[in-house]
Parts: sequence; structure tokens; C-alpha cells
Amino acid sequence: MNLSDVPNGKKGLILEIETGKRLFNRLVSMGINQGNEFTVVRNNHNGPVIIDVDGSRFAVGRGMSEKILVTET
Amino acid sequence: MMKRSIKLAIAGNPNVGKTTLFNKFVGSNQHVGNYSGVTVEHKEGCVNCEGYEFIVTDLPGIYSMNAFSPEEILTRNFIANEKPDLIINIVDASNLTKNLYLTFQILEMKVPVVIFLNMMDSVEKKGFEIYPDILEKEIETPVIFGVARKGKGIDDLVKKCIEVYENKPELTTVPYSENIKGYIRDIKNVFSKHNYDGHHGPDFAKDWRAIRLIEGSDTDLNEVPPEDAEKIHEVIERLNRESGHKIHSVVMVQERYRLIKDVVAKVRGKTGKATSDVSSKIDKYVLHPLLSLPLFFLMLFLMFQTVFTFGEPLEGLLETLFGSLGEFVGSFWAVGSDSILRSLIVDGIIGGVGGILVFSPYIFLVFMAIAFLEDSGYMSRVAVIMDRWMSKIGLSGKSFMPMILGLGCTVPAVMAARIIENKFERLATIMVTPFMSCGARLPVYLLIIAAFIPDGYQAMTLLMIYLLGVVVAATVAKLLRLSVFKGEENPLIIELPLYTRPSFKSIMMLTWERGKHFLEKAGTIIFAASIILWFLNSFPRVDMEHVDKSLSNAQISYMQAEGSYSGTIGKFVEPAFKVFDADWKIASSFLASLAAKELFVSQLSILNSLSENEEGSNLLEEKIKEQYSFATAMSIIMLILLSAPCVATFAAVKAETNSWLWPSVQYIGMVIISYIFAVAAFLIFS
Repeated sequence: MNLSDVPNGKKGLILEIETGKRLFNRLVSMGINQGNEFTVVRNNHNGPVIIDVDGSRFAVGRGMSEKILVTET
Repeated sequence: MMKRSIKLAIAGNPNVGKTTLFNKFVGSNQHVGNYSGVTVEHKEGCVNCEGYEFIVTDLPGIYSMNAFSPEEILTRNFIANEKPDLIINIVDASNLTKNLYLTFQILEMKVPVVIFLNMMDSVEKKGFEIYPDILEKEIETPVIFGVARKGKGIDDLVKKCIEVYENKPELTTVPYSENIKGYIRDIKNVFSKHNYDGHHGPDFAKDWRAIRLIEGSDTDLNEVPPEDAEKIHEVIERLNRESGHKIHSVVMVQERYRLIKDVVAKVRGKTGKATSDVSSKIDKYVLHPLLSLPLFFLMLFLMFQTVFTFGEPLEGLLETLFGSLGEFVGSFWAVGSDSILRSLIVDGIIGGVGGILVFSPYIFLVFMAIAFLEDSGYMSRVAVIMDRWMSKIGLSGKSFMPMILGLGCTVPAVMAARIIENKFERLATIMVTPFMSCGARLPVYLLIIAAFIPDGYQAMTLLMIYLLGVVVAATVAKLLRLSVFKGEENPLIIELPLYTRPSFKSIMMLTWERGKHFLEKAGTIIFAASIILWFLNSFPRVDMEHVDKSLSNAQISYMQAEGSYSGTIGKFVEPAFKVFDADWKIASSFLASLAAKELFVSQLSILNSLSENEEGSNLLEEKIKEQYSFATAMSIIMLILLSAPCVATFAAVKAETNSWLWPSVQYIGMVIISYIFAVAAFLIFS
């Protein structure tokens, strides 16, 4: 499943990030990395998905969130 | 004893208190340094401490050193070229994992580093504790801890910096696995055989270059001779094959995080449960699916309200001030004197520059409001709230704030576009911002609406004008993003910092820094433009000796204006304005509006031989009602709304894009677009 499919309040694990080099580097340097756990703070099914990774909060654009493969935990 | 000077640079993630630390370190003794035109700035400051002089540079906040953004390139080049004696790496103790990623990349560059573990107070609230001494041992780098906001730990930091500077301890080697070290060695072997950059350099420069090559840096690969590039490519291919990763940069990323995970596990201990933080509670409302928009518009409304409430009296004050200054300077000449020098100084320079400077309170207040929103943490939420809509026109949420500021004044709006990292998106935003109708255009609309629109429909007409500006801006943005500024898609990824109470001092410093920039950069161009405009309006001069003495001052002004170069130019371009039934007076007033939009009204009053004190009255309305049709009036509105930005905007766009091309393209493009709309409006309404 994609990050965009994870409902509010659920936790998950990032499996794969399927983007170009530039975006990949941006995401991982912010700690949004393969193998990291996250909590979905807000996902309205339109607009950015807001996640919490290791105490930091990020807004990830909708399109971007569809390229992040995750599994719910 | 000679004083020693230590060159320091502060580097770290965004929102970890970098600038707070910098301000605590150097106080107000600072300036924005080397505005390099890539829309990234770094600050420099000096301070004397314990017999040492510290030259401190505050680098922009970054997450990594992969050189993908202008900020990253600036930081990387600064460390590589300026060779600071010491880097203070400020690290958010409550977010170790993410912050240490940058730390490791800095350590890879083999520069002396002191780590400042900031926000130790918020660690406890998150339910764990941090052991700085263990961190120091683990990464073999000096660690100081404290709370920058409260000034805690700053003295220790200064002492440690001096100690490191004097003792020059051995530099840390990042303990990569033997496997990775092997690949680094293999790549280094390739380029040590040849005589190019890196060959004569110290060994660590080669290490660093090898790491960048493993990460897939294209710029580094281009610097290598083709036969070496081939061999390096082979090593990287082998590495990818053996590690099983598809994208090569993954290897270094995962290696760094593997090390960081080990470190964090030892350094961080759990103490209890995290207390629920205030930020989450605020975000429940601020980012609420239904409440977020109304709250945001309320915020905007309050912001504009504040800016206008405080701006208006200040503007009035400045107007009076420049008025009296003009009178005072003018009083050096005899009454009724037609001295050219007097006219240049009083009408040209004081009138022209003053006419623009009276708007500076608005600009400073807008900057203050932005600084407040940024400092409080709300600004990044705005990007989130608006992203959904902005992405439809090829921009992201970050473009929204500059565009909305354009409704106040285009100059700070263009400057606010700096927060957009993506170059193409930033350019597109800057290009369309002048379509958002700024405050200076309002007097023109008010004049025309009062003259041509019946009472009940006036407010509605005004709203439609503003909406048209927004629609044109959105359409042009979309077209630009589909053509010239295609570039890579730039999805929103933004960190939402914790809400903090903004500090008055930092808001004031930020406001002054940006406002000063407006005064300097735009000021020089406005000065030149004022003199040019004055010249065009004042020459050739009316021969006062042969003027009929019975003529009023206003009639003489009219003669002067008609006979002047600007009158001549107005008549020369009149055919273009005839298309929608306007005459040379409109043409000349329009040309004046190119300096500043509201000049349209003053020039039109001069040309209709109204003296200054009648300007605000209904006389001008009556006059234009007699001379022009409704359709022509609508065409004029199109010209004022959509055509070429004022000189100050031109100057700001030139400064922000660091090129003459983009402001020129914008200028010509807007003239063409406005002309098409003016003709169309004429055809529709006649």
C-alpha cells in the first residue's frame, strides 16, 4: 500500500521510496527513510498527508505520498 | 599580544534554533553577507570574547549536503572554499536521528566540528533523556549541550571552540564498514593516477570526492576525465550489483543511517511517557479539514487589517514630512522661481523618491507580519493548507504567500518568493505575482469606478477587477509551468516545526534585514527613474517670458505637460491607444504609471489642468466622464491591472532572479497581455 492509503492515527513502516534521485535524497535526509516507522497525523484524502517520524512532523504532498510504499503495523 | 581571530560557521537543520544561537553569539553586531543572487543569504557577525575575535557565519538551514538546493550548494561551497576554522553543528536533541544525518555529512568533509545539542529542555517532555558524554565518545567529536533560546550552554560553547581551535585535535573519521571503505579506496585509486583536482589535495579531499561519486553526483563525475569516469562507473556498478540496490545513492544513505541508529541507541534513554504537546493541539484546529480555510482567511484578514491600520497614519506622516522637506528646500529659491535645479530637487527627487518611500511603512509592516507568521511556525502550515489548490496551477503551497502579499505591494511579494526552493516554481511565482492587484493601483480604479460605475455596483466592480488579476495570474502560472518553467515536478515536502512564541527581537531583526534590502536595492533605481521622469515631464520648458500672464498655474502646468517630452511621447504612442478610443493624455499618464501605478492619477490631473489641491476632488471624475466612453474606461482598467510592473518591482525581480532577462521578459509579456485585454474589453463593452 501507499502512504496515501494509511488512515488517520495509524502507524506504519516505510518499505520503498520510488522517486527520482533528487526527491529521494530530500526525503531521506529529512529522516523519511526506508525502514523507518511513522504515524499518520492527518490524511484527508485530498491535500498533503501529515506524518510524524521520530518526533518530527512533516507534510508530504499527495502525489509524493503515492510514491512511498508502506505497510501498516 | 596579538588578538587571534577564529572563523566559525554555524550549520544545522532548519528550525533547530540556528539563528537564535547566532544572535546569542554575536548580538546585534551582524549583517547579511554576500547576497550572492541565488536567493540564498548567509549572515555574518563579529564578537570579541576572552581575547579572541570570532567571525561567525550563519549558514542557511539544510537537511543534507547533497548539493540539490541552492542552500545546500552554498553551505557545501562555503565549507570547501572558505575553510572555516571550526563548524558549530547545531543539533536538535529531541530529533537526533534526522539531525545526525547532516552531522555525518559534515564530518565527512573533514573539518573541525563542535556539536551544540540544542533544545535539551524539550527532550524531557518527549519522554526520554540524552547522554551528551556518550555521544561525544561515540562520534569522537566535542559535544556541548544547552538551550540556545535561554542562553544556556553558550559560554561552554565559546570555551570549547577556543579549546578546539588551540589544540587542533585529530579530525574524526566516520567509521564506515570495511565494505564501503573498500569501494572508497577503489575509486580513490582510479583518480590518484592522474593529475587533476584532488591529486595534489590532501587525502581527505579525495575521500570526500569518492563518497560524492558513490552517491551519484553528476557534477563530480563530469569533472573527471572520460577514461577515469569509465573506471569509476565500473566500481559503482559493482557496488550496486553487490549491495542489491537499484539506485546507487541508497548505499551511502543506508550506511549513514546504520551508523546513526547504533549511536542513537546508546545515546538516548527512555524515561517515561511523552506528554502531549501544545503544537498537536493547535494543529487540530489549524489543519482541520473544515476549519483550516476559514481560520487562515481570518488570519489573512487580520494581517491586512493590521498593515493598513498602522500603515495609513505612517504613510500620511511621511507624506507630510516629504511635503515640508520639499517646501523647505524650495524656500531657498525666490517665490515663483523657475530654476531648473529647484525643480529637479523638489519635484524630481524629493517628489519622486518621496512618492515611493511613503509606501515603505506598508512594506515594513508586511515584512513584520511575515516574520511573525514564520517565527510562530504558522507559515509552513499555510503551505500545507493551500497546497491542494496551488498544485492545480502547477505551483505548490509555498507560492501562495508571495501571491497573496502581492495584493498589498508587489515588491515584498516578489522578495517573499525566496521561501520556494524549486527554481522553476520560484520563477513562475515571481513572474505572475505582479498580476495580483497591488495597493498602488487602487487609486486608479477608484477614480474610474467613481466616474463610470453607478452607485450600487461599485464594490462589485472592484471585486471583479481583483478577481480578474487572480485568474490571469493563475492562468499564466499554469502556462509557464507547462512550457518555459516545465522542470521537475516539485511536490510539497515540508517540516512542520513546533509552534513557538515569536520573539520581538528576532521579528524586528528579520524585518529590518529585509526592509533595508528594499530601501537599498529599489531605492537606487527609483532615484534614477525619478530623475528621468522629471526630465521627460519638465523639458522642453515653457518659455515663461512669453506666457500670457493671465493664465492660471494649472493652465501653465498643462502647457508644460503637453509640450514636454512625455507629452510628445504620449502623442507619438497615441495611435496604439486610439484603438480603444483613448487619447495622448491617457497615453502619457499610462507612461507615468510605469514608474509607479498611482502616478497615473497625478499625471492625468496635470494634463487636465487641475491644480494639486483639486486632485482629490470630483473635478477629475467629471472631466474624464466627459472625455471618454465606458468601454475606454474599462480598457484603462485592464492596462493598469495587467500591464508592466512598476520600476520598484522591476528592480526587485532583477535582484531576486539575478538576471536582466526575467524582469525584461516579464515587462514585455505583461505589456502585450494587458494590451490584448484592453482591446478585448473595449470590443466587449462598446
